[in-house]
Amino acid sequence: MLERPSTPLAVRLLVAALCGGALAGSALPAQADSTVTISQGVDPVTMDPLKRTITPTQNASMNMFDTLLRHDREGKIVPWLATSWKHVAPTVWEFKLRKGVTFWNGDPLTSADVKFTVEKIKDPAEGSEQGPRVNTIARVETPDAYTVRYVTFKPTAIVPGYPWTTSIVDAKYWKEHGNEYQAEHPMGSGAYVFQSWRKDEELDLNANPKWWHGKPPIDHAIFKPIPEAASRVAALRTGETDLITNVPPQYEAQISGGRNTKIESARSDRVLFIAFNTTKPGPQQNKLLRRAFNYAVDVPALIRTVLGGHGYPASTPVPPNFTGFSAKIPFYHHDLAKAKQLLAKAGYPDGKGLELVLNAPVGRYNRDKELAEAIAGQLSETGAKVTTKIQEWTTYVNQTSQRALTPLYMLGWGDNSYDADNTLTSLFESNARISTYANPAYDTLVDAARYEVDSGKRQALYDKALAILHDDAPWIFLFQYDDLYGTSKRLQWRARADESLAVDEMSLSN
Amino acid sequence: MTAFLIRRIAGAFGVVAGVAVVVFIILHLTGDPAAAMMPLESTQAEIAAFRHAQGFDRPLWVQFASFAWNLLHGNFGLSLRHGEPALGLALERVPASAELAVTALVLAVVVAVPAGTVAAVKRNSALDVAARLLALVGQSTPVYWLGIMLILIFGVQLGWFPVSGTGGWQHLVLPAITLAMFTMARIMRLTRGSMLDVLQSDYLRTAVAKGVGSFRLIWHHALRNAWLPIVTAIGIELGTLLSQAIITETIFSWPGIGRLAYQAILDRDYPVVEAVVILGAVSFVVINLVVDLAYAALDPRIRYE
Amino acid sequence: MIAAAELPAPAADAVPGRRRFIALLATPATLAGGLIVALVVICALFAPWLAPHDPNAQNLAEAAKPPAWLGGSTAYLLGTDHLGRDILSRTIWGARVAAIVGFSVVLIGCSIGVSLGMIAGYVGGLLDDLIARVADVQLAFPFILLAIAVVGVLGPSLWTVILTLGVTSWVQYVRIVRAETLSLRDRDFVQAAIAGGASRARILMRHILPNIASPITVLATFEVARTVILESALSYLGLGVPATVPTWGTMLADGRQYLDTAWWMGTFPGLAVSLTVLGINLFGDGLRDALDPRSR
Repeated sequence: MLERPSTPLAVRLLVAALCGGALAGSALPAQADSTVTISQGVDPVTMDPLKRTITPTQNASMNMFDTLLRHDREGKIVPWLATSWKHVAPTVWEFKLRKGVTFWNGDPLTSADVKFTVEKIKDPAEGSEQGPRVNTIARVETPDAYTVRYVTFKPTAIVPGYPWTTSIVDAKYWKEHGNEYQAEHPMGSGAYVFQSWRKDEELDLNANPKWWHGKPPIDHAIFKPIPEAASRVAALRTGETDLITNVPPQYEAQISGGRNTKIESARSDRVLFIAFNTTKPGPQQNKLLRRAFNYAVDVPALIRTVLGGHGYPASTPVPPNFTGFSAKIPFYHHDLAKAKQLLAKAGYPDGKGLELVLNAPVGRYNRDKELAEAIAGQLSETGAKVTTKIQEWTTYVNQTSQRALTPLYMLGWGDNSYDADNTLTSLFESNARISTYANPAYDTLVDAARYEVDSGKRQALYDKALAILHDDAPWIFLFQYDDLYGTSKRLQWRARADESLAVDEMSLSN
Repeated sequence: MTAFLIRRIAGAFGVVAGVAVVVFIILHLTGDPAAAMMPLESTQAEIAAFRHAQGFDRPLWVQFASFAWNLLHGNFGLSLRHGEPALGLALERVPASAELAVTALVLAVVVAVPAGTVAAVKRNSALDVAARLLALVGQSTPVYWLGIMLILIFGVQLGWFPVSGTGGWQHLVLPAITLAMFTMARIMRLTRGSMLDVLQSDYLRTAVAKGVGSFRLIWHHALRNAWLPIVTAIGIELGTLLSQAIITETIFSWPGIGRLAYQAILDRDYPVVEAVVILGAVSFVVINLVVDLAYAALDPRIRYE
Repeated sequence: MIAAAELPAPAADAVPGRRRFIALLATPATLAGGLIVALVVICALFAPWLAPHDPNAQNLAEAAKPPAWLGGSTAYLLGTDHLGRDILSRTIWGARVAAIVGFSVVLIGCSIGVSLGMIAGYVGGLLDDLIARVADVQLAFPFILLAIAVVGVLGPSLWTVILTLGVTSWVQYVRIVRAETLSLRDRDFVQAAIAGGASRARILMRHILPNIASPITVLATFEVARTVILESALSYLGLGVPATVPTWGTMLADGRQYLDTAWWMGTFPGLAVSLTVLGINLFGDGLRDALDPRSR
């Protein structure tokens, strides 16, 4: 599961000869060194790993910082800084730390650093976006230097504190230099050592020869953001970059047919959906109409045409590789006749008198605007008049926050907890901030599942909750994205479901 | 002259103050950064904590007073997005943007002024038609369209120039041409028009009658008189360039202030938007002041009372 | 001020006779320009009858089909876009939006700009200074921030775009009109009217306005072209007109991602923009020459 790509012996020898210089931060990489250039659409916004949750920033910090645990490609939790972890009491989770791990400056990584990290994120004065990840933890105990205990407020079946994404920072270094300093001067223990960062231009990293997991195969990593998708593809084709993210599907043929380029894809955990705002008055409060719309949308056709075949129809809000997913829930298959029949039953024969707005953001999710237009087109085939209202993201998310988007709105949900809990509570529980669905029976089930320690009983609760969602149809269930990446042919790497870019999993051939 | 200068400088301060007030009001109209910054799963309490930590829960007038007070001290606060001082973030982008904008401006002027002059002198000739056609392309092609075309032709197909980021002069070629096109078209039309006016004026006809050689005539008499509006235009175009730079910088991954500003606007990163806008306003008034003074130097007929 | 320089001094008291004016307009270039503009106006007026398809009718099965002569179908002469909508029909309907946006934006900008410009030039003093500074504030303020604010408050629509572009275009007019008014103020016929006891409003409307009409007209024609380009920039940034309103700007912005796989998506609306700008420029140049006694 922690397979390491093999590196030619010659490269390893050269690397060994050069690594002293590399660590000292010498200016230019020698020619024989291997360098990978990675182009995401957005630059990391800070080198401080405890502030933000957005993917491009996390992808930079995950290469410089280690986490307690990691997910393997299949989503299974594997040891990382923690060699073992167990549920020692209903409210206590215990981690045993790997010994001999040091930060780049030589400081040993101990339980005090873990405690400092969690407390830093929890501190309301920090205003960290990662706060919600640790809000179930009441306190952190450190019985010895290599044992950490997370004590939760309530019994929980889920490993608390997102140990697979929370970067462990150097407490001593942090206290010495203060908060603001961290934004440009990170101190981690990870596979790649920070060299320099010119914002929106280049982040330069060098392989860490003393990494506890062994020196990674590629000597240098450069993160060079390219915001415009057309330019990103062009830069890959000219060889200016080795890996690009968010490839629009129409470029697939061009990249896979290119002399030096290829396509990588991974079934993403991000689910796209159209929600009905059932908390606002309107025809969308009628369950029959909601079900009718689910039958009216032809998800496979959307995937085929708008996404170039890159998507997987979703039957539930929870992806199949998450704990809590229920295979018993059926899909809504495209059936226009049935949709019209249900609509008539709901009181709208031939969609008469139905004029609905489908809200969607632009530039947030892959092909969001195009999908909204296509879905509005499909819904209109029932006779209802559905028009789109497309808005820039921040305006849009502000309205999401106030539950003001109505009657229909598009949203994507990407979650890296690998558990149903966060999705099912944040999106559907009556009192969740952005939820536009209210059903006390559902709330009871999901709340019980959250604190149910027995996995069989827990799954039974989720089966019931997901069946309610299918029947009540607070969403038009759409699909999971298949993320597309373009890479140069010399790069060996396999894309991951969580959109992460761990350079230590990459290697180069020549 | 001194009185004029004082009035102009006072006016310049007025403009910057006006921009500061407008940017504050407009920003608060565009919505709350808390919703954009915090993840969707955060609870109402977490959003409230964020708003409190950033001081967004204070009455609007208190927020404005504190903004104005800090502004007077040159303090824009920490960026919500980056957690670093906003003014520093803005200032560190200025060199890259200036490099691109100045190159584009020089390119535009170097091409447009001679081309516009020749077009006017040889009115309706093939050269005139060619120049006007180029102006048409520059005027009617959206910046992003032109940029992507150049990338595909000169970057991908021919492989002559890199298509992203900074580096040597090669990196500057495509973005500079892209950014220059619109301004070039404008200055070319302007030069042509204003040369036509001068060429038809009485005193130039007199010069022709006196037998002044045609090259000398154009450079010494005509162009000198046509310079005035051209200099004005260049001053204003520099402002236009900086705002057009947003799209050019995005297409060519150029690490300039336009990209920072655009991202900050999208994120409602109030301190950074405020810093960039006020920085822009200051450079705008300074450029215009310099242009006005350049008038006086170029045209002694202008007097300021 | 740029635009002022592009223009000749006004023909204050030398307005040409109507017959000579028409003769001056009847040059080949001006006629060609006029024809192009007329074509756009016809498309705008008769779009529902000219367009072969509903511009918003999707047909996912027919998505991204090339133009008829490149192996596409004759049902879609200029091909289809990524949702299978007919490019020809959308381009024709785009003319309507371009005409509405161009005309309304110019009207808004022109009315604000001309009124303020005349007041600034005629009244002068503190008011003049104030208007000049407000114009500077407008110029120094980033257009995109304003666009986001307006769209955020009013919601995305055709009228939001018109409002945004309209309220940002007045500065151009102010600068010209002020300069022209200033030069007219001391002319004999104005002084005579003042001596005759005419009210300020009457002088502005009856004596000043007719004499600055020609530079305003010419500037307005050029502004129409600029408006089309700006609308397209707004679409690129995701702040444009809703997708259900087919505009050249949105088509161009959508088409940029298909430049090397389905070039026809953006190229035809792009050509429509260029042609329109060409027509307006030719016509505007002719108008300028005809209105300017000196360029004869």
